[in-house]
Amino acid sequence: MDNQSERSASSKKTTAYRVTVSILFGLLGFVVNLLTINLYFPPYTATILIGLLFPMLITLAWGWRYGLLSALAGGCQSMWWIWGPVNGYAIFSIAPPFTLWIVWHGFFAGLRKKRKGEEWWLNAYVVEIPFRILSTINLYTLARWAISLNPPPWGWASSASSTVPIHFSNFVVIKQMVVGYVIILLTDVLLNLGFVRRYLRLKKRIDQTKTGYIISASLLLGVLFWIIDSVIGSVVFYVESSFLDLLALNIPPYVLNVRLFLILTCLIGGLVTSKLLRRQRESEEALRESEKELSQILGGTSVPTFVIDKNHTITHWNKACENLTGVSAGEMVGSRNQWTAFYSAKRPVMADPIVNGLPGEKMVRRYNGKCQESAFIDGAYEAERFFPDLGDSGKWLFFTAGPLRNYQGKVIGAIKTFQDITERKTAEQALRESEEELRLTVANLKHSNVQLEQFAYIASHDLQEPLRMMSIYVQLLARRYKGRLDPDADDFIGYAVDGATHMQTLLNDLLAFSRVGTRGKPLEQTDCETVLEQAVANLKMAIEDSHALVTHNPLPTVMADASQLIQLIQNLIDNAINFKGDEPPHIHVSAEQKEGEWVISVADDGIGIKPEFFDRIFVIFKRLHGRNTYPGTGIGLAVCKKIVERHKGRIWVESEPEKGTTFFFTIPITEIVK
Amino acid sequence: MNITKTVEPLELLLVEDNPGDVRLTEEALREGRVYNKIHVVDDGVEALAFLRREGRYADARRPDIILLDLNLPKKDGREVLEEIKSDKALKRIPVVVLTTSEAEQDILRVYNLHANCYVTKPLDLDQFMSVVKSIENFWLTVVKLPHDEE
Repeated sequence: MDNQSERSASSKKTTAYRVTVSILFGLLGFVVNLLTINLYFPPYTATILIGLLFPMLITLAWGWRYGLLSALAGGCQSMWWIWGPVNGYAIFSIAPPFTLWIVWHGFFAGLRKKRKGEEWWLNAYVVEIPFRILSTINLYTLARWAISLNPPPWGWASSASSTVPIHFSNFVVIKQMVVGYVIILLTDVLLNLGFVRRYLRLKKRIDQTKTGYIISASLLLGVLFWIIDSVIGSVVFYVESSFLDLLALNIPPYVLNVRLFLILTCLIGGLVTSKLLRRQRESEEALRESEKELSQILGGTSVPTFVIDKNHTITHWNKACENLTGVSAGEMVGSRNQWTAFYSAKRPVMADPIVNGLPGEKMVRRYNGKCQESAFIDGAYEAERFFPDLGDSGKWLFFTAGPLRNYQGKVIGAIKTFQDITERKTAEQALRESEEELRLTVANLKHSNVQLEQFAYIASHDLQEPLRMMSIYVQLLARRYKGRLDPDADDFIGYAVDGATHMQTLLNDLLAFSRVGTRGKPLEQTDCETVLEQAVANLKMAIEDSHALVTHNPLPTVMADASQLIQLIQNLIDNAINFKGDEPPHIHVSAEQKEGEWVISVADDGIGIKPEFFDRIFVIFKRLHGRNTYPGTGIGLAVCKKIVERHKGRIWVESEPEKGTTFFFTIPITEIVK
Repeated sequence: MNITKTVEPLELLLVEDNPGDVRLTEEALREGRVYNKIHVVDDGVEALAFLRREGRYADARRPDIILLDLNLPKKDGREVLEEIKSDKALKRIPVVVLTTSEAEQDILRVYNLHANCYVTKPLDLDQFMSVVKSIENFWLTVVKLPHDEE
């Protein structure tokens, strides 16, 4: 809002300034004209209204509105005073065109401003021509007719003559033409002067200066020729005529034509020349502009880029490229030393063969097959390479070099862009290394796992033999000598037998545990209902003894090692029977399909487990109860866990003491690939 | 050969490297009812030498039954079994494999090598005794063994 009001206030101020100056200049013109600058060309006198310069200045500077104001304020009004008494009625056809003249030029000046002076025919010197023609026609027709009506009734013009010789009309036409052009020329020159522009508050002028001078010069040349021709004519060809006669008063018609033709030719020549100069300047400017634009584009991108021309000379080397290579544009632009920025020895960079138009296969061969055609830039190639000389410890660069073509499609240079991929490469390398490390670790782990299982197997297997000896001979000892030694000896033998027996069970369990990993069979489609049937059959005795009830929901078919699955379910049911409450146990097996896996549960109504023991129960040989209360070595659930893990499932327990326990395990659902 | 009708002792060859087991087997057989004579060798090479009457076994008698342990020094019990069963002169002698291994694949393999019987050495003394006695009973009294002409 403030800005707007400020602007409108400043524009009001400008308008006021212009109106004032226009009126002042008009008055100034009026006064200057009243000085009556007369040129005497006997028998005629020509009054030169040099004061017209002022409204002309206003109209060319500010447009026709201010021009008209200035003209009406006085600039053009003086002629009513000066010529009115002489011309009588004719003043009505002579004076108004002067005001019109000012408006005419103001109008075209405005048009020039609007079109930024692009059209040559809007030039003040050109638009003067049609006006001058109309004005001339007017002088020969309307003005002469008006003169024939003289004298008019008003007193101050009573001396106006009613006849004029045609020579006088010629004289007036030429005078007006010359004065018109002189005024335009003067105005133009004045408008090029700095202080005038400052005073009129115009922008500094860059264009048109040359144009103006060239046209003025050609016009002056025409006028000069006119004068020289007059001199030569008066001395050589028309010795009987005076210089003034030949200059203006009595020019033979064909001489006049020749001179007018020459002036016109000069003027046209000037116009054409200025036009050509202007076009050249414009194309130079356009070139500079596009060059500047390219430089700005390259400078504005963070992609390191350089450009070479068809002679391999560097034309652009942007900031990002300076940053990447550490070599400044000042060093590189204009040289052909692009290699110095990248290599320690002289060799072409990829942009060079592009400029030479090296065929694709050769290009690929040159880079040992490590470069390839760009997928989306026509004719460009790209490659990855390590540059040991860049930066502190070398850099990996991904670079693309593509041709620059002219409008005919001819290669005129090449552009090369870089991408610093050192970080990516380093990361890739680190990833490869850590992957390798991981692979090794996994392999080692697998190996040590296998060895551990092997060890457990061999240990448990080979320990059996000496244990058997111990056990059997202690038994033999007991058999043969029981009662024959003292009672202590019998006790000791008894403990030795117990220990040996327990150790045998432990070893067997350990063997079973280690066999889960070492003796597993491949996984195949296994019906869980059959598995349950088998498990129940294996536990027939225990089930009958405890009067257990085993029920189940429909069970799925899963990918499993059938014998291990039997063992798993058997162990869980056996567990449920072992830890039953006072009542005969009820064991229920069910299955539920969850995301990507089957969750199979074995629930009982036994003594339950406290939550703090949930993890402990799956550890090998960990027991929650004394061997005397509940039998077992504590291997069952550890084997279960191992079996489930071999099937890539999970096993867990939910339980409430005195209420019962539910074991859950999962088996992944795998697609059967046939 | 002059075959008398007098009671001849049963000839047993025990191939066993564990003196404890040897003694135990001897003890068990001693408790048995059958009059027997037991020969003991402690590795596979010796066993085959005995059977083929080589070297110091030139005068050895052909055993009526072989009790063979699987884990033997020098020559493994499996190899001994294989050689016995592929030898025309020896293959009819019943071979009872005695071992601690309960591994299914061991059992299968042994039967595939035409062992006549596979017995796991029991961990319990009484069981051991009864196994040895039942072997004795079964093979030496119940089963009619081929009487090879020499």
